[in-house]
Amino acid sequence: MKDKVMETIAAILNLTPGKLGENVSAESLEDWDSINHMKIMIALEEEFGIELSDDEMMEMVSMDRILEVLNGRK
Amino acid sequence: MEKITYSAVHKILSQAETGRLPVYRITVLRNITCEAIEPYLRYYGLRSGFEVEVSFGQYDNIFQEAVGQEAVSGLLDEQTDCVLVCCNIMVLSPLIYRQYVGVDARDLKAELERLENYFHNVATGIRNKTKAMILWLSPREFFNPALGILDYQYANGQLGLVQEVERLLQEQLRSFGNAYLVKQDHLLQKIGAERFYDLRHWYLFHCPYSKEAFQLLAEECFIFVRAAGGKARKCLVLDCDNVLWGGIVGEDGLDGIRLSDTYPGLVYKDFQQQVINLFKRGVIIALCSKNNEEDVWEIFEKHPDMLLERGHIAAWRINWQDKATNLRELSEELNIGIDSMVFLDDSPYEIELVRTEVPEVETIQLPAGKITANAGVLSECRLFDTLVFSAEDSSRGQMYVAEARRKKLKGQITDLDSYLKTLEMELTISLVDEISIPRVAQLTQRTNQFNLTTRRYSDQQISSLAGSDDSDVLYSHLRDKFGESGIIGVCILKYKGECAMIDVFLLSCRALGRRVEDELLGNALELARSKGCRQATAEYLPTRKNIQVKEFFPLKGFTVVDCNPDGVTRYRLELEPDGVKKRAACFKQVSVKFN
Repeated sequence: MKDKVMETIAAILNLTPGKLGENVSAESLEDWDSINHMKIMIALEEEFGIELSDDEMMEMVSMDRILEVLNGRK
Repeated sequence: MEKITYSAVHKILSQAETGRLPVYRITVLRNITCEAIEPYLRYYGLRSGFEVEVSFGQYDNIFQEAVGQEAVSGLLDEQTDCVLVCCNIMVLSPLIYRQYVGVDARDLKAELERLENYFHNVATGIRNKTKAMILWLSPREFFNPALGILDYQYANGQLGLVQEVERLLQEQLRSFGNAYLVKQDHLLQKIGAERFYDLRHWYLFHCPYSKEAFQLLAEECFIFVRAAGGKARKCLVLDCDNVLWGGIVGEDGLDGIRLSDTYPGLVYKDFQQQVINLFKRGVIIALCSKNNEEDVWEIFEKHPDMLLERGHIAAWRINWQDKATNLRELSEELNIGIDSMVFLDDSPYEIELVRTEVPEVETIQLPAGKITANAGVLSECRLFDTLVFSAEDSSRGQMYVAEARRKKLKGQITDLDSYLKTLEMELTISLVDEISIPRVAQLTQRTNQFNLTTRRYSDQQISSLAGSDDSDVLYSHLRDKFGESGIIGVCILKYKGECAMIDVFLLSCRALGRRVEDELLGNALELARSKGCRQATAEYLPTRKNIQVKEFFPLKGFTVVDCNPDGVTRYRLELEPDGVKKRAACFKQVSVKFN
């Protein structure tokens, strides 16, 4: 699942998954601004076939938080 | 709506070989967050044959960027092809959208005036900076009016006001030319408000739309782009059995096929009406069917419920040959590009064959097992949408039918000039006027083959060229014993000192091979001379489609000045003071009206 999230984020940010580095979060990635955040959320909803709640969408600003939410949905 | 995920769009875009495609630059001015539309714009651009580059203005800076004196570099300039304005009413007018109840009528009236001025100033500002096409998203959004059902009872209710705002915008845009209103209502209705909007996006990011809305909006924008760029399809090629009627004529016969005023025959009758509507809009109708030809015509002539007539059909291939070959032949016979054709069939086999063999042809397959959807297929496909409607459009279908009869005559005579004489052609060459502007603009937008420079002009641009002392816009109009061909040639001259520059020289494909170009060129040069010009210059700008006119200017006596590696060639011709040589006498009459 982590790989799929990586791939999704990388596609939106126009990077190869390898270039994302260790700490994948809005804080550490310059391109992950609010506009790309919205795009990432759109893509994640599609890829995992889920609908995020208001708060989830607000909070999913790092790989850890994203996995936490996705794992909770299984 | 095409089902494609956001990630898939990104993937397609990152893998596309865009280097060879023409670049199309879109600038988005907005008062909302709408960056998420970018991948869809690029995706639909790619599908229309463009490499799209999108630049966004600052959030809620529409007025500043359009009207401000300090140009934001690269945002609005001569390189811009299209300006997309996303101006949302929620941000634009909180007074109408949010407050409304209890607001004084005078304040509402003042608000409407403010908005009208705003639209005018922004459109003027954009126009002063760029000639690009302006696409302005309707400010109207779906909402529940504050006064509920009561609101529906009054023209100046909240919904009525929003409608009025849209009307004011529409009026402003119309006065600018090459500026269009992009309605959202029909897109919203397609998927419903709940899927069109996303409140999480609104409250978290100042973006009202869902990703599906962005996809629909981007697709809609490219219908405009295609229409303005001459990429609207011109010809519909139809299969017959199970398309024009239910059943198979060869097996079921005249009495057995389904075509009537009740189900299932009504489905086919409605479909035929849609075809006729397209014909009246100027779409050329052709048939391509595996049948015995006489069986098909028998239905056309004898079936009481046939709406289509032989007079609607410009050309046909009713035979047992494969349909790809037939389509190629039809494109040759009608003298139109194969990429301006749409092929419609119920058989997945035929559709697949055409897709593989002639991918330039757009295909429509009727939905299997759902004949009730047939009639809607044509009105929903949007492939024939255009931005101008001229008098010629309403009779183009007939013109092509007349052309087919001329061709038959041509087969019997071998010498071209004697053939042309039998047509009794009457040619008029004249300066463009109010009435002919839309058609002349349309020819510059649509003509691809006999077009030396392929410069596209809007109504408004033609009008200002015609009004200027430094340029003239000429057109030629043709009729013959078979009927009107209408306005079929355009020449635009731009004067500089004693030199006349041929900016546009084009001929509609239905007037090819009739010596119209000689008369038009000869008279254009004559006009230049009468204005004191001693020299004419001309250009050939090669495209994928205009190779046939590569040698046009040299053949007419022009000498090459220079030629760059891309094939762009410039020519010159000295205008002799004693007038041009006598031209071919294949016309019954040539009238020249330059006053």
